[in-house]
Amino acid sequence: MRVTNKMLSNNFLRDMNTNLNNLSKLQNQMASGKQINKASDDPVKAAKIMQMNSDINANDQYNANIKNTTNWLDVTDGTLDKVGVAITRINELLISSGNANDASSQGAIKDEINQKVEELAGLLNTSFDGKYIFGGTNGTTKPVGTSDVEGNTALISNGKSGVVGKSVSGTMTYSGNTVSPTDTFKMSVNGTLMTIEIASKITGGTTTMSDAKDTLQTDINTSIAAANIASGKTSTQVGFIKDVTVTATDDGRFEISSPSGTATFYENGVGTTAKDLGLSVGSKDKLIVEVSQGVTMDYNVTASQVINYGVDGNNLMDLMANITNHLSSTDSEEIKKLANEDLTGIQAVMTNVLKLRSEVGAKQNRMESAESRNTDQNLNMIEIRSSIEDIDITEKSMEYATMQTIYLASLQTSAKVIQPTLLDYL
Amino acid sequence: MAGLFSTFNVATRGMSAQQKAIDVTSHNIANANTDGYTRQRATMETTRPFSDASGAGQLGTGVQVSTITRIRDSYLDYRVRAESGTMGLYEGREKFLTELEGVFNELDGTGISTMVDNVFKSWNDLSLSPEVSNTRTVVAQQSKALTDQLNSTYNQLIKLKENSQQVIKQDVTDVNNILDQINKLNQEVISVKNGGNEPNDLMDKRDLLVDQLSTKFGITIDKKSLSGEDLKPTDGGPANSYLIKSDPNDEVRRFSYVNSIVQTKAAVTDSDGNITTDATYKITYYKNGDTSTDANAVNINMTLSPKDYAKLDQGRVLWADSEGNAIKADGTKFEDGDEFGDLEQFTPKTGELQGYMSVQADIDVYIGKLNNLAKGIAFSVNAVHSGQSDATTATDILNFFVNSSDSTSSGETSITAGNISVNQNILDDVMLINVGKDATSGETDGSRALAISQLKYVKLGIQGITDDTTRTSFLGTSYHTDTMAISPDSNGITIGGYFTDIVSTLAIQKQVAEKNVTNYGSLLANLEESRSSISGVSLDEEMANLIQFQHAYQANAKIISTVDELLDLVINGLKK
Repeated sequence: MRVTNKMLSNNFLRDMNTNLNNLSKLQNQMASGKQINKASDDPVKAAKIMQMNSDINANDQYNANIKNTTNWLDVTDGTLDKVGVAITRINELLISSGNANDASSQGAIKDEINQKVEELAGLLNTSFDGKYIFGGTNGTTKPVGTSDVEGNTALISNGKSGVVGKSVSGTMTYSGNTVSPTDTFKMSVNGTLMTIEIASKITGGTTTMSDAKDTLQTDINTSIAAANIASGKTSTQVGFIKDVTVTATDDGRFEISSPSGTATFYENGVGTTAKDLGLSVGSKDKLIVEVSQGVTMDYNVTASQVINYGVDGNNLMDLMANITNHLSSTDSEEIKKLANEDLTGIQAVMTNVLKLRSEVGAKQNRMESAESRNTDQNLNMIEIRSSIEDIDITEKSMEYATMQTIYLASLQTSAKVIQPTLLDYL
Repeated sequence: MAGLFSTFNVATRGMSAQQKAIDVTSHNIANANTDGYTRQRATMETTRPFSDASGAGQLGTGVQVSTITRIRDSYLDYRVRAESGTMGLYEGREKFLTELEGVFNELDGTGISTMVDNVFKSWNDLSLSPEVSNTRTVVAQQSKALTDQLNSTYNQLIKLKENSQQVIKQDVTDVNNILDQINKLNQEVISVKNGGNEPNDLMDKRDLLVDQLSTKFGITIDKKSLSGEDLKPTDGGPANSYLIKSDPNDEVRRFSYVNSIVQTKAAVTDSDGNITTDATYKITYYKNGDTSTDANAVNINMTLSPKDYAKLDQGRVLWADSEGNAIKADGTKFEDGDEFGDLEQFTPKTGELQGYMSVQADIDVYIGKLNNLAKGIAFSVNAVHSGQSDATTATDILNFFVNSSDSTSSGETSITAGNISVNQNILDDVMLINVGKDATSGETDGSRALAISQLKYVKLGIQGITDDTTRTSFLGTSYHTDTMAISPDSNGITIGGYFTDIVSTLAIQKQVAEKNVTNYGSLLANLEESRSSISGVSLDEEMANLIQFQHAYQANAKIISTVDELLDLVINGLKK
């Protein structure tokens, strides 16, 4: 084949370009430490790397979630421990009240119990990370509080009633679930428990808030009157429950105020009436956290779980109110109750607290194993990504050295070949 | 006497022939590096012999240079031109696909996929602390960063498309220029050949221009008499698709460029969304692609279906008559009011022009996919955020993602990657973000935010989204109000997965274009080498020839001096 000078120089130029391209690619890889710098270098690997990055990112989030939740659970456990100590002390005091026969020793016991009530309220209002840990989904308001009732400290629930009304064409209308006649719920004021039955229907979406509040007020006061007759108290005696006033606030809540003390509401059995009307406070709603893809768990204990220790609405608030009432009275029947029903009640509270603590403990174990799984997964994914994405520096250095040699060799030989022509010898 | 003087003449002829050969050699050497130059050879042949009546038979009378020919293999020319076409196609595609890849720069951790991950991460953080405003602000700002990035990517894609159209326009002007030059050369070649000479250099110039043209689109050449050439594109066209004709009176074609397609009347749709009457457009094309003066602009109005619009928008090059007016299939001028089907669009199958046209089609596909992604994100997040799978249901809760040019609920259907944005009301007051289960849930209830963050892993039917898909048709019955979750579509794909898909497809296309450029590049180089081997100038060979001719010249000169001595002997020596 006839070879011309132009062919030689064209070949040289083309090969030199190829060599320089290869050198440049290697240089890029070594400088960035990555095998592929643009997706088109290797589309399959690039897609895998993008997927890995996304998963590692999500894993970091889960790790942060797990750490946060572990702290929360630790605080919860510590607080429940202290609650248990306080309840144990109340237990001892009740037992010792059996020996106290005179008013002064009874008075001393009563003072200490009042202090314990304050302590319990403080413990149930523990906050962590800006939220009250027993507050459930209403974590920005204190779940419980104390009030002074006839010289004694009483434990009351502090939550606001829920929003159930919405403005429809200008009027506040009840927008919760419909409450029918014969639906019941329980109310407790100052230690007295009573059942309230709804007499007229409150329809969700139709009944205005003002009509609904009138219905409620009538129904509640009916029950109060019945309870007063049943306890035999008259309007001037201690223990008489005065009528309540129900108002519908502008933001759609029912506010029930009783001059005799704070009213607490809860469900009767399996009904949901109190929750529907937004009256049931100390919400049982759980807080949920995601600890790995698609795996969620709830991690909080609510104040109502601590307070409601049995069936039929046995709760700590009523129990403490009863205890302080019995300690203040001079009736021997009432005093006997201290060593019987009240003692049983306190022991049930203790059992409940222990049950809650064991649940928290189980959750803490779950968190620990979730954390170790998360760390393992993270390491695995980072390793896989590295094996796809990163270069082996030794291998690349060898390739670079080889390519450089080839380049220099091509330059040297080409220089020798394209220079001489016949003209040098004529 | 006639004998000696005729020997003189033989020697003289010899000298002038060798001198001409030296001239040709020096021409070759001078043009050793000229592009497209074919080496020339002086063909020598003996002159008419003279019949010697005195017995010896025919006597030669010397040499003459009969022709100066080019050494060229026309088969190789044909091969080189064919491969240049394919090479041009892939080079054109690679050029724009590289830019396109740069727009979607994904592997250094700042791209859209990272932002999508960050948005879902911020929703997860929000679900744990919904009562404070900083987690909410993070959600709003991360979402805004995502929508800003989507907007900017969309705009860059549109600009890239416009750039490719500019390049097509430039190519059309170049092609028309080259055609005019080839035409002139063609006529000159014919007239020189007519005069009986070989127009070697003119033919070289013509071949060079034809080579350049072959990278733009595939061409077919018909060789006519007197070395004239007729030229037409290989792929289709109107009745007479010749661009160059040897007969100057024949009608030839040129190309015009469609500069703008503007909608003048919207399409009429019936209640199902099907189009009953197509939209009307005003199309402006410039004769011969020359946009330097408005006198070249021609406006025509016609109705276009969406498919026709796409075809015209991506193609942009029209067949035109020699003045630049668009023509129909039979070659008559295209008038205002004619149908789109009659308009002759230039659709080459190889070459740079096709490369740029196909890249436009690809960019349109990517813009469509990006729009689908934006719509998918907007629909799913809005549905879980407001708790409604129908965008038209009245609710107090704001839509999280809205169409920046139409923030009503009907605007949601026309969300694209270019206009998606976070609701301004939410940016102004982040406490309006709906994070709890319902209106009665407490302030630390973040379950709705958790549901939104879990959308990252839900398979949605994003591939099936069209311009008309509404939130209802996208979700169907898959949104559950009680669990606030969207059930996965078994044929669907996650948001992150869809975006990775887009990047992978683009990467593969670019890789293919790159590999083809390399492969065809080396194929073309081989063919060029063969061509050079035959037609290229080898300095060594020319030098050797030069020596040869020089010696021949010297030998002929020696004969003259010998004859001179003989004549001197005869004239001066015979009689004193």
